[in-house]
Amino acid sequence: MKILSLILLLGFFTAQGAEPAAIEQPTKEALKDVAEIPVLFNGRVMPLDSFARLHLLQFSGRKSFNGESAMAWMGRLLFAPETTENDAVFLINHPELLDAMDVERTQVIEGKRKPSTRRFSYLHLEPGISQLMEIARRAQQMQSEDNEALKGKEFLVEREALRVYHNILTYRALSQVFAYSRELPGLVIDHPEVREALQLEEGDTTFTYLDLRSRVGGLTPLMEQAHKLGGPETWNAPQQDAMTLAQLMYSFHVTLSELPLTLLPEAPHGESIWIAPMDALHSRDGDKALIHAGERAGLLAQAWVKQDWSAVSEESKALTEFSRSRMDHVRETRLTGKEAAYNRANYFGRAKIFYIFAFFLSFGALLSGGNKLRWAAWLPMLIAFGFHVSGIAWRIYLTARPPVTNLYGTFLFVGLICLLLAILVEFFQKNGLGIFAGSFIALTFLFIADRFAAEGDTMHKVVAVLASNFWLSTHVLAVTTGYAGVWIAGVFGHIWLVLKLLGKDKATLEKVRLPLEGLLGFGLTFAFLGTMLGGVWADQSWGRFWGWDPKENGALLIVLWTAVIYHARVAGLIREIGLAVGSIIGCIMVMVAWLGVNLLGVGLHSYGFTTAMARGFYGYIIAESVFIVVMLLGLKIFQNESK
Amino acid sequence: MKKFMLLASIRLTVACLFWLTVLTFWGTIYQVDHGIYQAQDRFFNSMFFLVGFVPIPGGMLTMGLLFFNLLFSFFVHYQAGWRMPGLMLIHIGLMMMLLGGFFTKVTGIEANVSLFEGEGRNAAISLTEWEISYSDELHSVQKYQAVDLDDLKRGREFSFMTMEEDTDPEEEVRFEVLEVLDHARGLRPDPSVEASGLSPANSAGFVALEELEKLKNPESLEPGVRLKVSGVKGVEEIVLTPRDQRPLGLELDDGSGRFLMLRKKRYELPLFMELNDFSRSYYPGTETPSDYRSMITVHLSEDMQRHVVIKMNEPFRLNGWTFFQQSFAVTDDSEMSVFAVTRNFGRLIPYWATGITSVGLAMHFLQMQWMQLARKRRRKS
Repeated sequence: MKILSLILLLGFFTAQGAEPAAIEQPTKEALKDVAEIPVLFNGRVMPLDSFARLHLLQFSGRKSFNGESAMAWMGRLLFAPETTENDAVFLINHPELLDAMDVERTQVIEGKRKPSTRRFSYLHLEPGISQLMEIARRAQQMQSEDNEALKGKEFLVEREALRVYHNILTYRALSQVFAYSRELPGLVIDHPEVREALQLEEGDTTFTYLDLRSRVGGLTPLMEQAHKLGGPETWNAPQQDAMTLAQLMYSFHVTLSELPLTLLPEAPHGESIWIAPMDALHSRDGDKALIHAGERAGLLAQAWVKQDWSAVSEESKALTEFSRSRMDHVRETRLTGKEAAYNRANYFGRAKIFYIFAFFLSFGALLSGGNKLRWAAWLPMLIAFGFHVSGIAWRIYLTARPPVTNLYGTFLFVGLICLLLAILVEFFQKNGLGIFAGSFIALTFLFIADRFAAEGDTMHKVVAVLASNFWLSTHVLAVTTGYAGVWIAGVFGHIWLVLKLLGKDKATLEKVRLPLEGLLGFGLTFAFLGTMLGGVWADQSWGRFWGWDPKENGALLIVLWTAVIYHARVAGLIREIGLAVGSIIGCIMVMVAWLGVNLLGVGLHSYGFTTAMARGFYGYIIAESVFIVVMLLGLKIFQNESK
Repeated sequence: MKKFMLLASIRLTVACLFWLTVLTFWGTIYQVDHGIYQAQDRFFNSMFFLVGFVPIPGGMLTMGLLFFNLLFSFFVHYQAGWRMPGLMLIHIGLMMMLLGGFFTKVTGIEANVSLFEGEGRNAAISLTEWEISYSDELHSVQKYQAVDLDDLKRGREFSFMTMEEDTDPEEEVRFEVLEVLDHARGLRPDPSVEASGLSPANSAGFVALEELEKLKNPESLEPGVRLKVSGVKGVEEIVLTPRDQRPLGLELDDGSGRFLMLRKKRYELPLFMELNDFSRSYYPGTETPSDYRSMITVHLSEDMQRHVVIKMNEPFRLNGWTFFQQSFAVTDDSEMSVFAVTRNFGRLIPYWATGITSVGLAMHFLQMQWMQLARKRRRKS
C-alpha cells in the first residue's frame, strides 16, 4: 500500500494546486432541494440557503458571487471545494493587512491583474496565512486580557486580522465537511491479502473514507496478529498495511470531527442536538437511521461532483425528510422550504427598484406640477409597498415574532410606517409630495437595513429578556412608530426650507407645513407611548420603571424635543422656520435614540456597532448640521435681498 | 398673582423642557466615562450640580419646576379649557408621572437575594446602601440594631440600647461620627512610627482611613467610618470598613460583649423564600440563554407555604414586594440564583400616568387633525 502523504489528507484541499475540474451550475430543481435542507446555526434551524447567504455575506460582504447564487457557491465549497480556491471572496477592508501578511495588494483574476480589488481568493492569501494567524493570535490575547484593548484606531489592522482569520478558518472547515465522501489522495491498496480483507473488487482503485469505513472491520484479524507480534519491525507487509490504514482512518476521523455544518439531528424527538454529517457516521448510540443519513449526505456530495442533479435532488429531499421527521416539534424545521422561498423572492430588493421609479416619477410631478406623472408614480409606489409589506409579513410568519427584534427589522418597519404616513399625506394633499417623501425614506431605510443585514442572521434568536412577544409588539412597535412620525416630519421640514429658499408662495409652503405639524404630533404621541411602555416593560422585568439608561434617554430626548417645539410654537418663541429647523433636529434626535446610544457601549440596550456604521452616523449628523446652517444663511440673504 | 402667572408661564414650560433635553443628552454622554449611577446622581437626582464653581440646575429641580408649572398652568390656562380635553388629560398624566417618580425615589427599595439550591432567606440585601449593625451575637441574624450610613454625618451622635428582652431598653453605648467616606480603604499602622495613646479599634487592624476616587458602579463602593465611642472598655475610637471581614468585638463596662459591623443594609422580607431548584436552557449549540427560572418555596407563615416559579419577565409579587429573576452563578457542585427585590408602593402610578397621557395625546392629536380638516373644508366652500 502506498500513502503519498498523510499530511495532504489531513491538511486542506485534497487536490490543492491542481487545476480543478469545472462543474456546471446545478439545475434549478436540484438547487431548490439542496437549499431547503435544514441546518442548525447560531441556535436556530434554518435552510442551507440561509446558511449559505450568511456565510458568503460574512466572507465577502456580498449576497452572491459573480452572479452565482450564494447557495450554488456554498454547494461548490462544501462538495467540490477545489473549485472555489480562485474565487475572490475574502473581503479585506484595510490593505495594510495584506502588507502585514507579506501578500501582494494586487491579484490576478481570470488572467487580469486587478489592482483596486478589495476581495481576494484563498490561493492569493494562502502564503500569508501563517503571518495572519500570528497577528490574530496576538490580537486575541490582547482582547482576552482587556476587552477594550483593540478599540483604538491604531488597532484597525489587528481587528481586521481577527475577522479575516476567522473567515478563513470557517472557509477551510466548511471545505472539509464532506471530505469523507471524496477520494483519499494518493492512497493505493495493492496487497492482495489486504484487498481481500477489505472485500475490494478488482476494479476498485480509488477509495473514500465513506467506502472504507464499513469495510475496515475486515482488517481486524491482521491487526490482531500485528499486536501479538509486537513492534512494527516484526510485522509483515499486509499487517503493516492494515495498521497504517487503520491509523489513517482514525486520524481522518479525529481531525475532521465536529465540523461547523450541523446538518443532522442526533436525538429522535428529543433534545436539539445537531451534528455534522461525518460525526453521524460514528453515532455513539449506534443510531442506524442517523448513520444512514450521514451516508446519504456523503452520496449527495458525490452526486454534486458527478453533476447528477436528479440524485442531488433525491438525496437532499431524503436529508430534509430525515431532519423534519426527527425534529417535527421544532417549528423552524418545518419551515425551511418557506424560508428558502422567502430568500429567493427577495422582496426588499424588488421593493427598492419600484421605490426608485416612484421617487423619480413623483419628483417629476413636483417639478412639472403635472397630474399624469403623479398618478403614474402611484403605481410603482403601491407595487413597492406590496413587496415591502409581504417581506415583513413573511418575516413575522417565519420568526413567529413581531417585526422588530433587531436594528435590521426596525429599519424595515420604520420605512414602512413612514411610507404609510406619506400615503396618508398624499391622499389629502394630492400634489406628489407624499409619494416623493415616502418613496425616498422607504428606499433610504431599505438601503440602511442592507448594511445591518451584513452583520449576520437577521432572524436570529432573541435573548431571554427580549423573548416576550407582548412587549416586543407593544413597546417596540409603538416607539418605532414614533420614530417614523418624527422622522417623516423632519423630511417635510427639509422640503419646507428648500421651498422657502426657492421663494415659493405661502399656499405651497402651507401644504408642507400642515402635514409637518400633524406628523410631529403623531410622532410625539407614539414616541411617548412607546417610551413609557418601555418603562412598564422594565418594571415588569427588572423592577424599575425608569433608570436613565442611554436607550431610555434616547427615546425621552425625542419626546422632550418634540414637546419643546410644540410649546415654543404656542409661546410664539419660534415660527415656521423654527418649526422646520426643529423638526430636522428631531430627525437627529431620532437617529441618536435609534443608533447613537449604541455607540456609547453602556447600559442594558447596548448592541454591537461597527466602525463603518459609526462613521455613517457622525457623517449624517454633520450633513444635517451643515444643511441647517446653509439653509438659514440662505434664507437670511434671501430676506435681505427682498428688503 | 403675578408669581402664579410666572409659574404658569408657557415660556417656563419651554425652558424646563429644553433644559431637561440638555440634561438628558449631557447625562447620557456622561455615562460613558462615569457610569450610569454617577450620571443619575449628578444630573437627574440633584437639585444643583457644579461645573467648576458654577451651580447648574439639576434634574430634580427642573422636574419639580415643571411639575408646579403644569399645576399652575392647569388652573390659569384651563379654566375654560374643556374644549381641549386631550390637553387636560396630557397635563394630568404628566403631573402623575412626575409625582410617581418622586414617590418611588423617596419610598422605593432596591435590593437582592442570592440563594444556592436548598438555601433559604427572609432578608434582602441592599445593592448600594450600608448600615452599622450592633448585636450581642457574633453572627447576628435575628436580633440586632442598625443605623443607616446615609444618616451619619460628621459630628452626629447616636447610641444603641440594651438588648436584653426582659429589661426596659436603656442607652448602653454612645458614638460620635468623626469621619464618613463614600469610598475608602483602611490603613494599618506605620511600623516606623511609634504609636502614642490608644489605637482605634478594628477587627482587621486598620487604624485610619484613606479616601479613594469614586467608582463608576456604586455597588462596588466600599465606604469607611471612624467613630468616637463611650461606654466601652479600653476603646475610645473605632474604624469600620467592609474589608474587616469579621465583626468588631467590644466589651461593655458591665463586662458583656457586643459586636459591631459595617455591612450592606438588610431589609426584612414578609416571607421566607427557599430555592428548590434552578434551571436554565440555551438555544441549541450556543451560549445564548433562551430561558432561566427558579423553583421557590415561599413560607408565608409557619403553616402556610406554596411553590412559586420565578423566571425572566415573570416576577413574583407579594404585598408591594416584587422578586425578579436577575442572574445566576454556577459553582462546581451547585447553582446559585440571584433575585432582584424591589418594594414600591407607588408602582402603578406611572402605569396610570402613561395611560392617561397617551389617551390625552391621541385625543388632542385627532382633535387637531379634525379641526384642520374642518378649516380646510370651510375654506373650500
